[in-house]
Amino acid sequence: MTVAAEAIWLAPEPGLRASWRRFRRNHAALAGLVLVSVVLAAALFGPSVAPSDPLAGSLDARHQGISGDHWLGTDALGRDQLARILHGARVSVLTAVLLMSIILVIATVVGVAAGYAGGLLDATLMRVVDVVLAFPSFILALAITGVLGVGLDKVLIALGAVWWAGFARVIRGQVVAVRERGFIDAAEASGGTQLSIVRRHVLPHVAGVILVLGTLDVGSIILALAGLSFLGFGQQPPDPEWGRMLFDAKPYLQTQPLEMIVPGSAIAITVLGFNLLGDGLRDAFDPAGSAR
Amino acid sequence: MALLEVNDLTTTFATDRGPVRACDGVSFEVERGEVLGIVGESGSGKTIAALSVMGLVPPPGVIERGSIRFDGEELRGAPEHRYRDLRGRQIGMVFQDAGRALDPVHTVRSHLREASGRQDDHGALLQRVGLDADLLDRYPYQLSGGQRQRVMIAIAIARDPALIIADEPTTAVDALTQVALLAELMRLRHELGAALILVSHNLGLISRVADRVAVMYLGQILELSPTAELVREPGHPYSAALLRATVPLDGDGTRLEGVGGNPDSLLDPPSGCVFSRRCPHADDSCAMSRPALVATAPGRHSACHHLDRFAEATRGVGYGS
Repeated sequence: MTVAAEAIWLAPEPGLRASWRRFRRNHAALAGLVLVSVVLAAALFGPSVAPSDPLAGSLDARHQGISGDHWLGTDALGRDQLARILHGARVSVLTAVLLMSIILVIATVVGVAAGYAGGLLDATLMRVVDVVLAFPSFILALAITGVLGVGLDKVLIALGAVWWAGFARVIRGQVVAVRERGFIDAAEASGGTQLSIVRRHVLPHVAGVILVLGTLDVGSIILALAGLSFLGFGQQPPDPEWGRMLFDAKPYLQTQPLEMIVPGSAIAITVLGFNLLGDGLRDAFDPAGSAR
Repeated sequence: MALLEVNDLTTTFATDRGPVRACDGVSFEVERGEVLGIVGESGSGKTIAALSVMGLVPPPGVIERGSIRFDGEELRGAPEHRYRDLRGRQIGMVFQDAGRALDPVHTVRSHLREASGRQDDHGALLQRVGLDADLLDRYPYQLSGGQRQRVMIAIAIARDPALIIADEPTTAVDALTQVALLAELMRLRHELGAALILVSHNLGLISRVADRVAVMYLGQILELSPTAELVREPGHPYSAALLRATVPLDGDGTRLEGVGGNPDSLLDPPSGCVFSRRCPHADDSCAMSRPALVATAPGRHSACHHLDRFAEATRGVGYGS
């Protein structure tokens, strides 16, 4: 009783405004926001500002270093690296963000249904999750791609099929915790339907966690996407994709390291940005937990 | 026909150590406009009785047998959507701790909108419970405990229910606020003409406002009597013990007495009368068979084997004597 009362008293000021205030004071989070904004802008507008056609190669201009004509050099086929990075951002970043949104929707539906309904539905859904989680996700995605065949769409399906499970488990846990709080009982006692209670009293309490999880893991999705492309499963040549660019540059690592450094840095910067942003969001939404 | 008729209500929880009967053959009625107090120690089953009426028994609890008739309609086994129509509209509920029962991400206005189903007029609703309309856009954490509890009451009465169930509505606030809240609740109940079930461990509090009192122990009603009579002349040894442990308003310096013994556990209920292990009047027959709740006088019911002997011994125990 007293414990509950104190917890309420000490609880941080809720609300988006307070979260934003905490976020704004966090320099790492702001840096993450800037990086993510730059990367997203590059993905959205990059193709229209790219200096040249990412597919047009010139055998006279192979393996060139940084120059006025080619700011980030050229690759083995003489294609402009900057143009390929900007065009590749579409695939590497936008697709990853889109895929993450779809994954979050699936995971939220499953997690909320399991956590709120409980009982048999909960047990069934969570056993499915257990099965998916029993395999290392990257290996499982690799196996699914092996069955489906190569291509960007197949890789996205494979990643989505393995990635939702972990999120669903975490979201379910959050929903179970929220369900224990008195206001769910109170909402039921005043005649709310299950759907309205989920919408009004459950989702707002798990939205922060979902957003944080998603942001933190976009980096991993980008890495996985690049990884699968690097292995030759994802985006097929000649279309540019960061992981594929790494793969193509591999033979020339010793002589032309720039060709690998450019896409590698693009991936690293993007992943760093999303991680910083995700950490910042987590601290902003859950200041009590950030001390852990 | 009474507004609410509960008959032989038995609510059981399956636990690792066997089934626990949180309510064991509970029967009572609530007339329209009546205030029924349910009093008992922690674990006596009073809250579960209230939740059973609302159809909100938390899992793994189930209503094993009995009937709950509201306005003549049998609720036991009623489909969930029927219950949803009753909750909030016909039966309003006030919870113990408004700090927990209000959702921290919603403003007072948002809570009232949900409870009333109306888009405006929330200020008037707040004023009815004695709060300023300018609190509408506050979040629960910006309110005091008393204000939160008043918001809870506003939620419960938002749709003019015929029955209000208040589970320890004033336990989470200080003594002065408690009195003010209770007065507010009684005034509103009177305005609405609603019946009220007031659940509390505080017999002193209940005896000031209830028309009748049901005394519960270990899931059973041991006495059900008009308040004035119960207070003047308790009809059960447990009621008498509770009265002796209650701080009278006009305290005359007499020492309070504890009930004696420790509360029994529902996991290991005494055979026979549930109060037999703690009762000063108990003998072998009390441990043997369970006394039924029977009428002892007009309007009075008691479950005791030795009412005669006990009545002799405790005459003059109550407040009014």
